[in-house]
Amino acid sequence: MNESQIKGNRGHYGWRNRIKLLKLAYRNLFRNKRRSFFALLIAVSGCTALCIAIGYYRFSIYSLQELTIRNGFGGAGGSAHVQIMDRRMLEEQEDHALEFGMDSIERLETLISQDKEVAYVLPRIEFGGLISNGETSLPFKGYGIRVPEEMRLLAGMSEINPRLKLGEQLAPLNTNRQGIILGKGLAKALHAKTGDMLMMYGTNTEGAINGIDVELLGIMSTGVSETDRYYLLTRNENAEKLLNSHKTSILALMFKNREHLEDKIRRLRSFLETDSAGAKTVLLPWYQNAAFYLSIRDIFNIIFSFMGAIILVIVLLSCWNIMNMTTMERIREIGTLRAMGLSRRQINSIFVLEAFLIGLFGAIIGMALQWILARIITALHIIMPPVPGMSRPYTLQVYGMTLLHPLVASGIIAAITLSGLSSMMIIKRYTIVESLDHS
Amino acid sequence: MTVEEILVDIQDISRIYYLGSSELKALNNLSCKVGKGDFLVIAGPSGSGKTTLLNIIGCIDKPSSGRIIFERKDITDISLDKLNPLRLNHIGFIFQSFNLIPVLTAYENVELPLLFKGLGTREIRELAEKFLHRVGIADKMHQRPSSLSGGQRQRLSIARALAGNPTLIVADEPTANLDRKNAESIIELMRELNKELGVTVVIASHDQMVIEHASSRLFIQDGSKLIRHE
Repeated sequence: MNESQIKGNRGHYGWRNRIKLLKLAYRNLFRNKRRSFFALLIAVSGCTALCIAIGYYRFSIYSLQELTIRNGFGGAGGSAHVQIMDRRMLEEQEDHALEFGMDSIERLETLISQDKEVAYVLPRIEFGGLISNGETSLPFKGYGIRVPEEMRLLAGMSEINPRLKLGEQLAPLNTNRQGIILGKGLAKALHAKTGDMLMMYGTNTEGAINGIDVELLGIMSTGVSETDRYYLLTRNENAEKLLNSHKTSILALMFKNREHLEDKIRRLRSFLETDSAGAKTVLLPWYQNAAFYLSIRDIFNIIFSFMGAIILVIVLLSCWNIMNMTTMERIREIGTLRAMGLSRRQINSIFVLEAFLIGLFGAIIGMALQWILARIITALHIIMPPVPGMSRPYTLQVYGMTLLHPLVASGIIAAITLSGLSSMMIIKRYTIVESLDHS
Repeated sequence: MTVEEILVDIQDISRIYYLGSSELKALNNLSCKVGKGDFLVIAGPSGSGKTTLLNIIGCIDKPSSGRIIFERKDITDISLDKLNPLRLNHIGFIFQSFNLIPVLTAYENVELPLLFKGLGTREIRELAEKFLHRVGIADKMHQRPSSLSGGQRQRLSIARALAGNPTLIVADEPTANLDRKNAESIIELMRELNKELGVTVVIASHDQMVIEHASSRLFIQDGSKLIRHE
């Protein structure tokens, strides 16, 4: 007998034979039904828990994105999808209100409206000054807005979370009266109530002080209590009157949807570059002006990754233990297969396939179960406490299917398949003769 | 026996088991030859070392000293893991308690080692069916071992051992779990297959009926060879 005869056939096997091994692994699952059931239960629980966590994570992230776009976290309002502003706004500090403001707004709006993807435009004027009730004067940070569009922007949040009816709070401004809305904190400090007449002071574009009488049309909360202490909203016309200018600080813009945002921005930029006024502008997508969102997203990523890793480790260790017991029960069979010439790796592959099947079934059942649970949780309208920096609670939602869900299911399958490797250590521990003598 | 006629040449082997600080000598400087086409029965009382010798002949155990030559190739220093292909392609095993896989049907039990040999689906089917027919349980092909009688189970393990077309079959007390009638029929079947296929059969047994069927007999006691009858 020569070397090649000893080596003989090295045991390569095709896909048909692999399917047969899969069949063997499947049948082995029914040997100890109770144990397989527990392994499956671990897989299902792990997958369901992870998928629900991911569903909640995706809801939270999407809500935060939409909140940034539609409401903002302290400022003129939501960032909208894109903000158009004078290039100098990014490079220098204004010495007085609207120094870098954009004129020719109508022309720019006409240009922008050529893009069929644009839904609406929100011109905004940023200014500062003092608000007085005659006895007390307090500084404010004011925003001139076009009310119907801003209401529309805010109202979009209700589609995501019915509890957040944000647009309605701007309704008092939607009138021809010369009025303002104050942040809750500022109104309280001024002891002002709706209907009171106040004096609004500001510095116009020439640096001169100007003042106009305004009626307090409403008091609102921005969701951020710190912002509520200096927040003032008025219509663009009133801001223009105070500042004695027709310029606009920024043009916020909403597309019909957020898909392919980069492409849309690129196309819009090419439109604007055809105009002399447009060429001086810069376009900022929402996420470039969303420090608060980005920091919360990073925290969420760390928390959910950590939680996911813990669940995966628990699933892996539990199944590892079950696979150990399964292997110990079949030591004699392992001895028989080794005597017949199967390598440890080939025998181990049978156990790995068993673990894979448990993982696969567990992931399928877990995905289905989490989908049902996600719908139930969402239907229960559970009220959650406000997110950090916000004052409004929100209704809990869990997304039943996102792009991350298949990834989670794959993670569960991988973790449980990995537990099948535990048999490798047991197979290695026993010699063939010891395995055959094992009872 | 010429060198060409020898399948396994056991040269002066000892096998020592270590149990804590004490040692147990299962085989003691034993030498023997297994000829090609032989139907050899290793006989001896319980604890005489016949199973240990059978394990070494079947390449599932290594001696503590001495040499093993398998078909003129010295395999003493080759690890058991590296001998997997040799066992897969050249050696078939028959066990006292059958050692069949309970979740597989009779056909699938025969098919399993063939799958790992890398044979084609058709070839596997032909071989499995042929040997199930040959051992007389073709009608039980789709039944699981639990629904077969002891004799049928042992026939099935013979079919499994033979399907891979081995040079050598090793059987450890193949009749110990069978009644007299079944035991006789199993040994007769093995003898027939030995003659028909030319496969070498080595059986460890203390059953007188099995010993009588042998073409050659090796009696051992306390790990040493006493006598060999041709």
